[in-house]
Amino acid sequence: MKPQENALNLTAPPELTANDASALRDKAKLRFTENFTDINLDCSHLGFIDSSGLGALISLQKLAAQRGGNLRLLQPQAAVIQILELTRLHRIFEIVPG
Amino acid sequence: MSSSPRNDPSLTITNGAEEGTAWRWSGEPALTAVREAAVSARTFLKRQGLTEDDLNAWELVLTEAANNVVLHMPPERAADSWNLHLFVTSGEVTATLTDHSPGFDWPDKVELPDVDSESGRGLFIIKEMTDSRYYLRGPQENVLTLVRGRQASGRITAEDHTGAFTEEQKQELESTLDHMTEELGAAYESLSAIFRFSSESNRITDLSAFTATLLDHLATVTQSDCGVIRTVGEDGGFKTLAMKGCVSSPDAPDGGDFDSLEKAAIASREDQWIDPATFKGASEIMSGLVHPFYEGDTLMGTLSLGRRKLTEPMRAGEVNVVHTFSEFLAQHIVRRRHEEQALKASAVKRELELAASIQRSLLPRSMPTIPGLELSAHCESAMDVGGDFYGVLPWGQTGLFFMMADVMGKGVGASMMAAVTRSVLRSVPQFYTDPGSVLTQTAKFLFEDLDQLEMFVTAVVGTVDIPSGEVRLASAGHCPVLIAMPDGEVHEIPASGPPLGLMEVIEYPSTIMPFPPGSRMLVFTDGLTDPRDGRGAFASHTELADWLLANAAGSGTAANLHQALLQRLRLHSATAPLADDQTFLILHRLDASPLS
Repeated sequence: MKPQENALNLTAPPELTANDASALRDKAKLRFTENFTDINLDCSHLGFIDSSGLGALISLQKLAAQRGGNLRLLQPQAAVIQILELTRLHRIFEIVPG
Repeated sequence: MSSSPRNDPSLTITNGAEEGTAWRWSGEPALTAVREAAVSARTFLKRQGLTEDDLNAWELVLTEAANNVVLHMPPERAADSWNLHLFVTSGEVTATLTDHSPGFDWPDKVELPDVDSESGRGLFIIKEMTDSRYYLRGPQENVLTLVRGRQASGRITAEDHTGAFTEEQKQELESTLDHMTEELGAAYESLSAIFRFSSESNRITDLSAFTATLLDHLATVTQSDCGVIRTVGEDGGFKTLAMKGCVSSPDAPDGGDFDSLEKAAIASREDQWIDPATFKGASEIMSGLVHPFYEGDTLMGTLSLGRRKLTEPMRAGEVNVVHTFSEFLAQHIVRRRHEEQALKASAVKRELELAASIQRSLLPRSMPTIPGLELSAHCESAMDVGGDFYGVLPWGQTGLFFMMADVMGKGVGASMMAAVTRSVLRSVPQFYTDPGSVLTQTAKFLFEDLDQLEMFVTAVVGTVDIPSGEVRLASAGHCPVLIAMPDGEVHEIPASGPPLGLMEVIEYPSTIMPFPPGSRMLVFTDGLTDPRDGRGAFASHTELADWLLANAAGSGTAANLHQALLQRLRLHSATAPLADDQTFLILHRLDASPLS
């Protein structure tokens, strides 16, 4: 994937749960400076996500949407895609397979 | 942080009727404890052989459920621990979560929130990933119970206890599946159907339902609108297992859509192709194929698919799919047959064991001791026959009552009838006086039962009285009794009437014979002389009588004669199984008897 100048690149932790959802949210808010419109979240190491983690993804998506951009999930693992599908969120985020 | 010292290891327990493995965890109301619990639970469940999908589901469901507890815990209860309990059986996992939070009202309907809502998906995830949920909210304590059935492949070992599916077959099936996956993975879209299908294959109970599903999937993959799957039964006849899309089966009165092609496919062992010219107007099928499938060299059946709209022939990839599925089906048919045979064989074996044990119970455990008389008896059961028995009882102070019978029939039925006959024979009081009357009475008692079962019984009963040196005998259609006199003569005492079960009212006369010191009597069943399988050592009663004549005098004791007779019988018995029970009883009147 080509690096995009207008996209903030973040890496999701191995687990995104109630425990660490707010950390990701805070980090994104802090680093999503005015020159960015999109957020690319590298999900290749993300092995587990719960509903709080999904909440964090939605808050990232909202951040991007405010600037007319998008949240892209890069290379999410099958188990994560399954949960996105279960909660119908796969229609909201742009998923870039590995 | 860690609460593991309080956490019990797993242990196997019986909960009601079901045996399973239990696991317990207890922790403080903190988010870190939630993850710790979920990860430990996953490790435990993995040891129980759950599939990866099940493990993912449980890790998520338990995290969601415990998050709810922890996030709703008021600060003043921060020291109150919560407990997680898992119970795993071969079929399902039950999780029970107990907490002391104020709890919440479980909504009647759990639905997804708006897409831009950042919360509210936890209960939905729990609902979607479990089969049933019970939430009890109490003033001090809340209990959430979640149940989820286990996916089949995670419990193969627990279910596959019949042993009918060998390791080799399993490997073969797995390699077929691997092959199938590989092959299709490259080319085909409707793979999800196939994966579902292969995971279902472990819990197939109904072959025709399985075949119908298979035909459905295949039709989708090959864009066919009709099809038939037929198998060759063990009797060689064809049977339609599944049919789809208004096609008529090849065994239909009009010949069916695929009839002539099926014949050609079987004759040539090759696929037969359907093109617009094949079915001249009679059918609307434009393209397709008839594929004969085999297990090894044995024809297992045919699989036919037809397309009404597409005129182009099936593509190579589609044909490959058909072939692979057929191979898979053939293995399942074979597996199913093996299972059925194993079941039948074990039922037959149980019946034989039961018959044998009934028969053993009818034989005397020990011989009575009668001064002046020596006894020796033998009873060997043929594999599938269990109707012979004999009995010996003291008769007064100085004699013996004996009986021998052969029920004409097989298995448990014959054994049961033998038991009935034996008790009737023994309950007839006249046996103290006259063997003929015993048979007359017994014939009357047993007639109705035997007649109904279409069985009959040959029986011989007799008394030996030492002081008088007399034998009284009566026989209902039984083999002759042979008496070897001390002077070398052998008497053959024939039956005094027909077998029991043929006539209700009949008089059996008794025959009185001398039985002086030095005499030997041989009572036997027709297993000794029945040459059905070439094992009957004696071609006739006369030959047996001749043998007795030659061997009786020099034999010494009854036991010696017994051994000599067995040896003679076994000359012919090298390896072949017995065709009929072999039973005999030897009575030897001793020379040196003080009473003679």
